[in-house]
This record gives sequence, C-alpha cells and structure tokens, in this order.
Amino acid sequence: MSRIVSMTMTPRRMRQRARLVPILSTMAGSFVATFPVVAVWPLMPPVGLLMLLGWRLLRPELWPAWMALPLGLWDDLATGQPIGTAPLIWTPILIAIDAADRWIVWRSHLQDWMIAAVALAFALMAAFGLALATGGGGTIIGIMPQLAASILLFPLAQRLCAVLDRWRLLG
Amino acid sequence: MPPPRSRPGHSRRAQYGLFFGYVAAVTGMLVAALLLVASVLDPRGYNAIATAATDVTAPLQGGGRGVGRALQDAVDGIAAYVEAGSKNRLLTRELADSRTRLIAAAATERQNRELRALLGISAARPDPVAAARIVGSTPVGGRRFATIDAGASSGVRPGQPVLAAPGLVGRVEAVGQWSARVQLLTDGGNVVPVRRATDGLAGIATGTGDGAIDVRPLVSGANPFRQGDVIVTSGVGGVYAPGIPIGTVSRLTPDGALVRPRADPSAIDFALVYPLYLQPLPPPPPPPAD
Repeated sequence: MSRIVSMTMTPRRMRQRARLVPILSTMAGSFVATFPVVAVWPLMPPVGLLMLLGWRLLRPELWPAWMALPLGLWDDLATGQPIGTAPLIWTPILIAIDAADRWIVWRSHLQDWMIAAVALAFALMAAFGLALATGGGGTIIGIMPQLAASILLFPLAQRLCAVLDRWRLLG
Repeated sequence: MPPPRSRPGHSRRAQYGLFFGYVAAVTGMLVAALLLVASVLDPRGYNAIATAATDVTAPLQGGGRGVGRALQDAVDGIAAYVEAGSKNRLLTRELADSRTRLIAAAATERQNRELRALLGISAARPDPVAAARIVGSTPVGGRRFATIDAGASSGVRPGQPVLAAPGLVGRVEAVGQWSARVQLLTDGGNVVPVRRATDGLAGIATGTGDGAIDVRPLVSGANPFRQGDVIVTSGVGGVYAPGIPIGTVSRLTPDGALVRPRADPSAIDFALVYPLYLQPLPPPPPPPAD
C-alpha cells in the first residue's frame, strides 16, 4: 500500500501531476524537432504525435478529442510547419481512434501498433499534402524513410508513456 | 487488454459532454483550416507568429548546436568508411585534374582583372548585411527551412539572399527580432534563375525537398546538361548576384538534371546575409491630375 498512497505529496499536488505529466511530455515531444541539426531530408519522426498516440492508446479516457487542438498548435510552433497543420491532422486521428474503440473493443498491443501505424501514415501524407498546397514541392517518396522510422519508434513511445504513467499515478 | 471506459454509458450529462467535445473538436479543425488558408493568403501575419517561436528557440539551439554537429559528424564519419576505397581513387584523380585547372584559372583571373580595369567595371560584391549561425531547421515537416540567429535587429529583411563560403544557401523567408527563417535551395518552393558556368546556358533551379535541386533548361530540345556541369546563379530577377555557385550536376533526368548543392546546409555553421542584388524599383509616380 505504501507504493500506492504516497505520503510525501498532498492529494491536490498528486492530481495536478496526474493531469500535467501527459500534456507536458507531449509538448516536450514536439520540442524534439528543435534539436539543432539542419535536416536536408524530412527524416525526424513526429515525436509530438508519437507521444499523443502513445497516451491516447494507453489511456483512452485521458483526453477528449479537442485536446489535439492546443497540443497541435504547440507542435506547429515547435516544428515550424504552417500553423494549423497539426490541429487539422491530429483531431481527425483522435476522432477516428474513438470510433475504433467502439469497433474493436478488446485490443492487443499489436492492434494498437497497427492503429498507430495507420494514423502516422495518414498524418505524414496529409502534412506532405498541406506542405505542397502552401508552396512546397517534392515527391512523396521523400517521406517514406521518415514514416518507417516513426512506425518502428511507436512501441518505444508507448513504453515511455507507460513509465511516465506509472510515475504520475504512483509516485 | 480489457475494454477501456471511454464510453459514457447511460448518463445524460456524460453523453452531452462527449457530444460537445466532438463539436468543439470539429469547430477547432475548421479554425485550423482557416489559419492554414490565412498563412497562404497573408504570409506576413503568419510569419510574425512563426518567427516569434524561432526567436525563443534560436538562442537555445545555438547553444546545443555543438552537440547536434558532433552527432551528425559521427554518422557522416561512419558512412564515409563504407565507400572509403572507391572514394579515395576518385578523389586522387579529381585532385590531379583540378590542379591543372587551378593553374589555368589563376591565369584567367589575372587576365580578367586586367580587362575589368580596362573597362572600369567594379567587381566588388556589396557588403553582407549580417553574419549569422545556422542553428536549426524544420526536420519534421515537408518544407526545407533553416533558422539563423540574426533577425530584424541586425538588418535582415525578407527576400535577402543567404550565402556560405561554398555557395548559395537560400533566401530569407521570414524575419523575427533575433532570428530569421531561411528557405533553403532544396525547398520545393524555391525557384532560382541559373546558368551553366562554362557557356551561360540559362535554366531554372527548383528544390526537390529531399536534398537535391532540379535544374531545367530554358530552351527546349535535347537535354543539354552533362554530368559534372557547374551551375551558378545567373543574376536574372535581381535577387541573387550573378555567378554564385549552386552545385554540380550529379544525375541527368529526362528533361533536365539533378544538382547536388555545393553549400550543404547540414555541414556549414555560418552564413552571410547579403542585400538584394538590385534594389527594387520605386513605385511609379501617381498620374498627374488634370
């Protein structure tokens, strides 16, 4: 019991931490994009989105679908994509996962991974399309290595979410 | 995994809460779409927000750039081992070749100087507006932008060309107070008028978004480019001074050539921001009232 009820923190602070840790960790994930390298290819996986998916698939009751709006806005500021890109792409992903929850009720880790893979493919292709529409160029082949890396990194993101989840709830 | 409790059950209040959550989500998406349209129609307002973010992150990135470079160098170092043998042979041959050309170039340069003096043409480039460090980029998105740590307070203005020692890097897209966003040569939206260094064959260079530049000749007909052709800016349009190196042709395509940029933005630390080559003409005077 001593692990479950932490004696060093007031219940108020516990509640605050339980609410803030997922939000702050997702915002920190977006901020990975400001890592000081100059990329010639779009190679870095969208870490903010990976964290969002990790939290959403781990804790379905944690966030309503509109939570993608503020988190996406922050992601756009950090990654330098045209503002509005991430809110526009992340929100339908959360709504679609809500629908998937009704459809496939009992789920395994592998199914979560597949849902995340589809979500990542949609997100990267939609972001590529929006970049084209706002004056960019290039071929869709260019995002394939990034997509593969993102899908392979998803279990790691979910594992990180699980560790943070234990810490925020148990202390 | 047991089914999660994301469904509200029979509580009316919880059902309404969920419903309004979706309404808020869809409304927010529409607002986001409007923001995107606004960023295309009115880039100035959008750029103000975007560069406010880079103003905050650029100083942090400047400090961490050493770590980023060390990591990048390590990856490059490992990659270099893979083709060390064939590269060595190639470089030895190239070195012998370029020594001969260097001697010829020195002679040409002297002759050039004499001829310029004869004609009274000043060959001096304008002084750079600012020297800046390249501190970051947009590694996630589909556009190729870099962040430099000089902004409006150093006199940087949108549209100005950015150069590094090896060649052209790009042009300033948006300016913040202490940072600016540079559209790299390899960005798909960047169009530069170019010519072949040897004979002045005119072309148009566009980024491909994946580290190369697509050059197309302005004349139709058979593909005039050959592997190894040196491409420089032509100075048409007045943004870039003529003769700034862009890169060498690495591969031919059906209707042009792919060029590897000389100034690889991932390998350079410092860049110079230059004023526009030709100042834009003043607006025409208003028609005389009669």
